[in-house]
Amino acid sequence: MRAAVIVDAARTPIGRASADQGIYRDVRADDLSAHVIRSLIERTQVEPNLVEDIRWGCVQQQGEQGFDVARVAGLISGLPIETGGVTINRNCASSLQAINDCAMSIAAECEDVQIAGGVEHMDHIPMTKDYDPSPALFRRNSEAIMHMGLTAEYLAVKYEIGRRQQDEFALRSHQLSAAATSAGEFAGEVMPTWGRNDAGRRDVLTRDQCIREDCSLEGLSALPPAFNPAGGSVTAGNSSPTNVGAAALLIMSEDKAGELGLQPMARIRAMAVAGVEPCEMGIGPVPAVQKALRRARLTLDEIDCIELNEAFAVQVLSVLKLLEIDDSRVNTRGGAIAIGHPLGASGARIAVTLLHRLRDTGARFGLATMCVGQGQGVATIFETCD
Amino acid sequence: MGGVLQFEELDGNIGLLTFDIPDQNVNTLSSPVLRELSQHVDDLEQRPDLQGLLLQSGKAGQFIAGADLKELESLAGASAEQVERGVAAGHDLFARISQLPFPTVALIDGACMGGGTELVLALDVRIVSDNPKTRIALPEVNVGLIPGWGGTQRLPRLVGIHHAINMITTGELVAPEKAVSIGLAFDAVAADQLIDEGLRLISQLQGSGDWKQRREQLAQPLGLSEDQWNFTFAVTEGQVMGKTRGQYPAPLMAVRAMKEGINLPLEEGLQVERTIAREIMRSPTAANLIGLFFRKNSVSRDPGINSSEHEPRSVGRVGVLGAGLMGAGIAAAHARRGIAAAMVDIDNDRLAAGISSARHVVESRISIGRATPDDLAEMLGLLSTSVSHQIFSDCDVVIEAVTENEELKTSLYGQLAGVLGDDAILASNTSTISVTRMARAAPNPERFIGMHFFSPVDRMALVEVIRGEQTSEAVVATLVNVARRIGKTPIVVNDCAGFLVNRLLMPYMAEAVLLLTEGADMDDVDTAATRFGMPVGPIALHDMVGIDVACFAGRVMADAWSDRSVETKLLEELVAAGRLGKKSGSGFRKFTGRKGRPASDPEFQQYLERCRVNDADFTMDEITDRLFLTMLLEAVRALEDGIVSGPAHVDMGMILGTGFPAFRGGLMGWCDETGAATIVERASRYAPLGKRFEPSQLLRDMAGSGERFYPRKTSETVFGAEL
Repeated sequence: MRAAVIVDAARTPIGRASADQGIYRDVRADDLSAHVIRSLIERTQVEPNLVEDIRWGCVQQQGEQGFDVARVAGLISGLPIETGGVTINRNCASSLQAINDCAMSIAAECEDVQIAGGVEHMDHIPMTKDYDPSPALFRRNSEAIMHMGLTAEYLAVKYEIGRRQQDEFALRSHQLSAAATSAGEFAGEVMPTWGRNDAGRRDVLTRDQCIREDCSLEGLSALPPAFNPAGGSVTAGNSSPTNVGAAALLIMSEDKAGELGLQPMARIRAMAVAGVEPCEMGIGPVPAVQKALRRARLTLDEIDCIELNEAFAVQVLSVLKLLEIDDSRVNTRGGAIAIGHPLGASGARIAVTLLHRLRDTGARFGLATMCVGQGQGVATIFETCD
Repeated sequence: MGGVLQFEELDGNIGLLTFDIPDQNVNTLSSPVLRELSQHVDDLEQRPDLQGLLLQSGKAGQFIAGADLKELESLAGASAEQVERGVAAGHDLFARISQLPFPTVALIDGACMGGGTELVLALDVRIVSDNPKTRIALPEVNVGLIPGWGGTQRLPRLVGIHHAINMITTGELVAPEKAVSIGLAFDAVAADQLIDEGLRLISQLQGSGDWKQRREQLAQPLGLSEDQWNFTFAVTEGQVMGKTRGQYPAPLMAVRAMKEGINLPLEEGLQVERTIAREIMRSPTAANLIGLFFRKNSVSRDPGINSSEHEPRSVGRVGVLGAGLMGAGIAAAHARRGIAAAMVDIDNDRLAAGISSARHVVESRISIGRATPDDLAEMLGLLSTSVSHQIFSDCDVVIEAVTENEELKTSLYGQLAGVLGDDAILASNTSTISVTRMARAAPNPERFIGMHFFSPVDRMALVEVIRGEQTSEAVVATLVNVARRIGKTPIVVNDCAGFLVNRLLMPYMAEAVLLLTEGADMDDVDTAATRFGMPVGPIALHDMVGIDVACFAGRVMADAWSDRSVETKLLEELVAAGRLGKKSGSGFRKFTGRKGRPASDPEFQQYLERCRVNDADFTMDEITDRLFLTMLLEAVRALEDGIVSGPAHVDMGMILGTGFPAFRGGLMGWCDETGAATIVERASRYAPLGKRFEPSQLLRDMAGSGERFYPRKTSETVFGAEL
């Protein structure tokens, strides 16, 4: 079976989804995708003709994200017309799934050199735009399963995670990502990208827009509950914001990388998906991680670096509690609460950050995992190459 | 010229070139301007020390309106060499600008058109203002030309083939936001931020240094694959042919320039453009369309009266008598442009139907994004209705729009006598009845006038303002002014049977009917007319307007111009048989199916046979001649009679009123292009058919002297180059 390796991984700065403040308020999702793809090809100097397919995560596949945005982005990016493109939707885990799909294709002796990644422009195409599920979905499920904030509130109650604990975790996310930014730890993964600067002028940008250096516990604790005004604990401060961004990874078989003389960042060791109750979608990573570990024949203790997507602080804390992990290995450069959560791009974004963490720290095993709306979890285990 | 372009140096070693033609509302690119620009470029080429150059207009909200049209107008008479020199002058200058030794940025506030757009395309970057007046376009095809100073090559290399084709073949006015999104402009900022943003951009371009690389990249072939190239141009050519029916060559030639040049290096692509431009610049269509541009301007500014003593009176409120399609259309046209309109009819049902059709006018505009629900509310707010004439008591103008029946009309005027205000003007929307005669029944003949709207009112721009013998000049001036306020093009016509448009159109319609009875094929007659450029053939037009209507108008014409009118018994037969055209399901053709499409009808044959006078064969040329010579000869007679003030009025009237082909330069333009002598000679072939083919004195004089209705324009310079 062919093993898949990641040759390079990059992302755009993550912007706020805001029509008047967002750095990408007048940058399109398809253009942003093409930009990160083009930048990755230029940086790796890989012959574009070798790229056989683009697997691109995106949740809201309409408007500028419609009609197979993977193909559209490929065409805009100037990749040869022979390079295919498929858009993948597993909600928040779409682009982590895209990475896994690349690995599966390589294992199955199908397409070899591929670009995996994803995009989401949550300002231009809002998260719930035109969403209209069948009433049959709500036969045994409350309609509230579609309100992620309410599922997060449910976790807070069920797993007994208090408001202060959530706020502290949110503070940690901002502090770590602010520190990582000023230490230049994102320099290897962020591709300079055109957007609007603070003055509203078009400029080449390198910083994530939502990270708050001045974040404080006082400020966080002053925020009202966002989803359940009567006694809720989940706030805008301890949840991920809505965002715009794209991320991409160049993936190929280990043999191909050797043939091309490339030094891969890591190989994909194991992958898994698992379903959970939609009403507690946030704990999706728990069974997914357990499955992936079994397939990798590893234990959690052996994993050096973990990226666990921060949809909500309470959701991360619930997962850590259930898996009995302390947070010293988790999201050490901050997470989605500070950096942002552009849905279709987030899986690739955490993988990108994880791979750079592995490379920068010389660690061996890394785990990327995330929860998925409607009750799923996805996990991918990476292992650095010798 | 001198003093049109000012150069100054800003802090940071950045040049600022300001374009501002003194005593002119807009900046245009004339030969002297290009010469002056060239001198500045001479200097700038020697300034590698500069960090960059900004180009702006000194006129707020007006960037560059394009090439000087007066110079363009002289193209028709220029030699191939002269045109080549003119084209080359622009090409050479813009090529030098594109190679200046520092980054160049255009700061565009206001309209940037044609040659102005080609100039800014030679610069490295464009920044636009977010001013709603800012628009970038290459509208050359509208006057029968192609962008000939690099536009067909630089634009597609910058924004890609699709957007370039769109802009160039349609003349689309590109708004700031779209300019940014397609990559034509770097950004849209407030007008007062343009220089600041330009300075920042230059420092950024200098910092990254990639402006040089970008220049190199834009000088390369666009690099369409064989399939991309084949597909794009096959589709485009099909669309353009569909739109222009091959009668307007410019869009197709512009496409050809892109097609042949786009996959070559820029320099070779520019050469392709020069060759094609040279070909089209001297084409008759270009001359016709440019000429028409000037005629349209002059007609649209004509006050309608000769003396300047009579000011138009102010009109705040208009009454419309009759809420049928025409009446409702007229009322809506006023209300839509902010003039209160009161509509009267005999019962509430008719008024309700009138309001409903007025609503429909704005609703259909909303559906295509040309109006908003607010516009609808505003229009309805200005519309009032009544079954009583009393509502007219405070109207400054009352327009009567009832059925075309003289007795009915004049009896209504009698009823209005006690109602209208002392100064009120009464206008009749008649299409055929003598205004001078009806004036006798009006409360005040001096304040009685014809105001002939065309149907459908919301889409037809033409209004014939009919001056009766006693109509006062102030009344004429007032209605011309009102027509212009509601967005129409008024043409003042001295009262005569058929006024202007029908006087010229009806003989053409009658000739078509006559041709059928002489043996011509119905489809051939229509095809000859549409090939000539008419939107529909004369037989099809009969069925569309109603054969009874055409028959009635024909009788009015026959009474008035008995010496040259022809009898169209066939029309009487069809009316008697109830075959009134599309509205009755059959006429010359039958109308069947859900959409009522016309089809040939064997039933029609019996009526034709009853009226048949001959069974001759006709060539298409003969049919064309007979149709359009009758129209033209009548037009010359009308001009001699002083019905309108000049040939431009005839042409605009026929283009707007009947869809006469613009590419022929209008009816009189067609005469000029063909030559009066040729027209007279061709008409003489048909002399045996009757007086209608007898050229009048004016035309015979012109045939002898070689004079034209529109004298050829000559100029010292042609399109940027001195002769």
